[in-house]
Amino acid sequence: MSDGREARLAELRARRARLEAGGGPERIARQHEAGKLTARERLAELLDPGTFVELDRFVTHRATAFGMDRVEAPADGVVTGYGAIGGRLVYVFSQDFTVLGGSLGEAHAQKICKIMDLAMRNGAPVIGLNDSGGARIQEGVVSLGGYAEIFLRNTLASGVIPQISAIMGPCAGGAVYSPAITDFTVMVRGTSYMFVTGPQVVKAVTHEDVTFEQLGGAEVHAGESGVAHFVADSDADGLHLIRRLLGYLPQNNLEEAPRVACADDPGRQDPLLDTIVPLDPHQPYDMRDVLARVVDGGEFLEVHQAFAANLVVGFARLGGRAVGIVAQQPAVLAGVLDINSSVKGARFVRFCDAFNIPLVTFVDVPGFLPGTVQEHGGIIRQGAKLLFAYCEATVPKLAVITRKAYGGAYDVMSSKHIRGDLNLAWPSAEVAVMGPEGAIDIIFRRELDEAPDREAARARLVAEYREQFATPYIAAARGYVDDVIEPRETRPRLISALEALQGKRDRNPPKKHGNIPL
Amino acid sequence: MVGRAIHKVLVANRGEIALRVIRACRTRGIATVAVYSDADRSAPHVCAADEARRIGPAPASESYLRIPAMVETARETGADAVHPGYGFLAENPAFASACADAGLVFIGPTAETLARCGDKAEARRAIRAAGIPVLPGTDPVDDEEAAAAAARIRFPVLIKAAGGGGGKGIHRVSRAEDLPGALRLARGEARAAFGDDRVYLERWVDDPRHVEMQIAADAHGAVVHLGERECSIQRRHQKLLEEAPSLALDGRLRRAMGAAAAEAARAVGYRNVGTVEFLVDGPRFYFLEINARLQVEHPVTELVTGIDLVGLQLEIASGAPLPLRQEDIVFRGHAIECRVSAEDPAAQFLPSAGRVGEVILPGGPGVRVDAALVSGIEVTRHYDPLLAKIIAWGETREETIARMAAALSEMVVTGVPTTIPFHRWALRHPAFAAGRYSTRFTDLEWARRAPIDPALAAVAAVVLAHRDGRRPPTLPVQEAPGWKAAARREALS
Amino acid sequence: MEGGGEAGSAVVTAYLVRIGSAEIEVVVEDDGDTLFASSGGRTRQVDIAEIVPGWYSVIVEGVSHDLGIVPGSADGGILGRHDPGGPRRHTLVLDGEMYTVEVLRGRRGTTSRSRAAGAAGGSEVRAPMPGLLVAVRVTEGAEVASGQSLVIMEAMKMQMEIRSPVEGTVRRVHVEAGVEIAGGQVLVTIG
Repeated sequence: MSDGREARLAELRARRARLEAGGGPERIARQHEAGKLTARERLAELLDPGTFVELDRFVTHRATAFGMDRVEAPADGVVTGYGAIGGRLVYVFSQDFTVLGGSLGEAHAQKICKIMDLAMRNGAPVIGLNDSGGARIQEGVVSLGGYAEIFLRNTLASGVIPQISAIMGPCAGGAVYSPAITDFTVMVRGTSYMFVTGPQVVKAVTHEDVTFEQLGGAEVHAGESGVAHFVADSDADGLHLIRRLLGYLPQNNLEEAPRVACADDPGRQDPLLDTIVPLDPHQPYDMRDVLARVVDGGEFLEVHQAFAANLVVGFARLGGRAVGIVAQQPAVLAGVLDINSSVKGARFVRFCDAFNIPLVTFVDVPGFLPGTVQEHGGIIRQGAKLLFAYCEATVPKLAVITRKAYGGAYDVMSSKHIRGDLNLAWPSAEVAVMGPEGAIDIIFRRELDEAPDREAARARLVAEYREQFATPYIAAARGYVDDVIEPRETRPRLISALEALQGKRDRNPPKKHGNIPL
Repeated sequence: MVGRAIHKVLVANRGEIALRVIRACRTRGIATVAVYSDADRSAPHVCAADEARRIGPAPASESYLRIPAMVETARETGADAVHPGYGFLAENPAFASACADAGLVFIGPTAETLARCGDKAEARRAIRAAGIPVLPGTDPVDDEEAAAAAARIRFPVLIKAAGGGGGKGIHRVSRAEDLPGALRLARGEARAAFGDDRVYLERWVDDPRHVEMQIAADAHGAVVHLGERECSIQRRHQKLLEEAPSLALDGRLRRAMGAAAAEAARAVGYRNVGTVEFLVDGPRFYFLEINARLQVEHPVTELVTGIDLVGLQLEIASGAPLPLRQEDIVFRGHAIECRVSAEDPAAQFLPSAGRVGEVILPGGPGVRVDAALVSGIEVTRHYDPLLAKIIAWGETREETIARMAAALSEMVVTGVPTTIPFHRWALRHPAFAAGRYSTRFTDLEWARRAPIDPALAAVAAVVLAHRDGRRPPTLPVQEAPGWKAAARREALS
Repeated sequence: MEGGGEAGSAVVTAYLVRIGSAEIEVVVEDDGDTLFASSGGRTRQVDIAEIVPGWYSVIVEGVSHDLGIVPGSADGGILGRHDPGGPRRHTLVLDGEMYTVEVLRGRRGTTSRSRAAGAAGGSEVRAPMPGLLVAVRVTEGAEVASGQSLVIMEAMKMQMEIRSPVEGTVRRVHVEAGVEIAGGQVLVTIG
């Protein structure tokens, strides 16, 4: 090879090497000291080895104001491209905090938009690793435009391809709206935070003194606001979680989630399920024990674990097929539905519906949480979200009533009337307008008032009511449940139904979109 | 037992031994019929034979173990003899009978001899009656008798299955209180492997050497021995490496054992080629069992005697008298065989299924490869994981060891883990070099091995990783049927 | 003058190898053609070539070794895998010896080794685009302030001053007036 050509290759290699070094060894060291990985290290941890193709690595900014013309920003602070996770194509962007604090400028946004466009054309998920100080002030309004381009694409892609955001550093101001629109957000404990307005401005306006962590750290968003669906202990942890999550999702809204070979016998009956629900209706139990015994290998990826714990949602497999699980948690708040759990459930149900993931619901709901907090907070509107989501969903909908299914909540929780495909009940199921105590107090008010021994009369009436109405058989007699089964049969019944529903076709009337109460 | 010329042999086996038998037949102008299961359709022995017939689906019980199918195939193809190889039906008296009933020459002993040798306890009785030293032990015992018997033999004792060998159902017990539990385990294994849960006890010998004698007997009462093979390098009673001659034997012991082996063969009315196994404890030897078949490690004897044992089998089976007398058998040089199996020596030698990637076989003077191993074949759980036998010969033991080590270093098998690292290590081991090893060698020494050069291994590992990193990225095949279909439809509308 | 990158730049990657119970650090220097591996104070030239997939010839300082990867452990490469529960340890067979190894990649960095000049570190000031070096404003050894003009370049019919991004001493001036400059080329090193 001639000297000239050798020199060109050498230049290419040198430029590539410089770009890979990001913001330089000192900044990289500081990133590591803070317990964070660099943008490229994160991609290496996230993607299957040897699959990452970087695009636009040579893109630089065109800004000149504020001395920007002399500032070199390798890859303009974001690494973009595509690779594979579990052998399946994904598009990724990873913000580089070591380059200008990962700030978003015109070129930076352009790079992200390019891979989002590619993802939309090719029908593959987008994963964004956020670690950015926000808009690049030096680029001014151009940065705002850049964000808007991203938000628009997030919205257009919503429900077409899965979008997952990882917050692995700061994500503040307008930038937070991108993760908010995406389907799932993972935050890293201790090193990430999200808020619209930072502590300084908060202090100035409301005189509240808060730290980054208190205002918008991972725990806050996982437990209080529900903005974060998952919390990870470290960057690597969070990235592994994303890999695991993707295993349950299809590439796009026209595909199915991957089916894995099922090592767990589909016909497995678990006798312990017969004894999980306590005889005393006031006694709680952990619904996750039920889930663990029914799903393949007991494996359950819980979403929003710390938020609205009275409703459990997450992904699992039945017979090797991915399903979305929604279940009351009787051990928390008696499993009632309230504002947070309604919203949590509604978003999850709509995500599954958008991406062809069948829904399996386990019902043990005594009703909605009473009180002014809930009423003034708009439980009417918020509860309606979950109802709307279930009604609208056309994916296979399976439900198992384990114990209580009272009142309006019975209707909401994937009941037969709102196009439930399979509705089963355990012998311990109670499908009724309300619980026996409440019903007796209303129906037999006069008799109780006139009874010589109110307590005894009440107890007798409650017992009679319980025996007659707090059962699944009246509902079964009307076909509101398809069958009453022994709890141990739950798994085989669900798997067989799922198989039968593989070809389900159902549609909603054509419309631009519904008007779900918001 | 019919004595007549053999024209066509049905090889009732697979893998390298099927190929070995076919080679011997071809040398003599005898036609061959191969049988194959669904898993073996593309196996080398199928192409090598003149005719080939499907014998059943992959599981051995539905193919290579089906007696009626074998006999029927022989009849259909006009074969007049059947060679059972080793394993599968080789020592099955019912198979030998079925062949005889069908008028087929069974290339091996009679059904009666097979039955007698197969019943380990029965065999020991016959041998003891012939005056050959037998390891102190018992006939099949029930659990109650076992305790008393064990005390009589003296602990430690070995529990062995009466219904078969090959390492199944063997348990060592050092203390009386462990006996009931071990009996339970042994019976369970024996029942699963042979359908017969009878066990007997034997005295345990510390540091024994496993030395076997090759014998051959014709239908006219002549018996010869063809020297010993040292088989002490074993793992869980499965042989890994064999050699001849054995350094544990001096001339006197060799003569005594050879005579005993011949005597044992006569005692059970043996015919054709077989092996008498002994346990050697210093200057003493004890009869263990008779393997009424051609053995895996027969090439070792072939190389030091220059005699084709499979050819000898064919001659004897055709009724001819033994072509050699004892004094004609001369031993020259030294031979070692390494059994290269698809087992992971770093994981307790557990067999590993998979597809063989690339194969590079060794060669050169004094290196023989008995293998039906080609790139792309599947190693399945249905059959033995033996991939290849490498046998080396040299004028001296040192030369043989050097040739074998060189051959193993040239051999490449990718795609499945192999025992080659174990063999290379064993050949280098000082105890092996000195010929001082017993059946405990592998269990004791292999676990104790220290890595030779971790620093170099670290560099090699890193260079490999780096190389992977330098390769341009690749994306696995993407399937997106729904999206693509929708896209096409859109484009056309 | 060669256009393009500096002569002899190599990519340096650090790896950590867990082998048995020991941890060994290996640093690889890759200039695109040759590999050097440094470990335990020794630097050796290494070369690796695939014979068949899964089997390699490794030459370390002229000594030939054979290397195999026990399969089931390294589809997709030997670098530490990402799936929790997925195999991170691989079994290598080097000259017939089996080793269980886990290879993790450390930080990547570039060392720009100007082998001819032997310059050590410092801040490199580069040409933002190709052009003509018009004038050099500083001499080697001079103290400069941040923002001080170092050289003048002409490109696209415009003259521009190339300024020092840091405060320091001029270690080396790599160019002289009247010479064609390539984009990204190092002009001055400040230490």
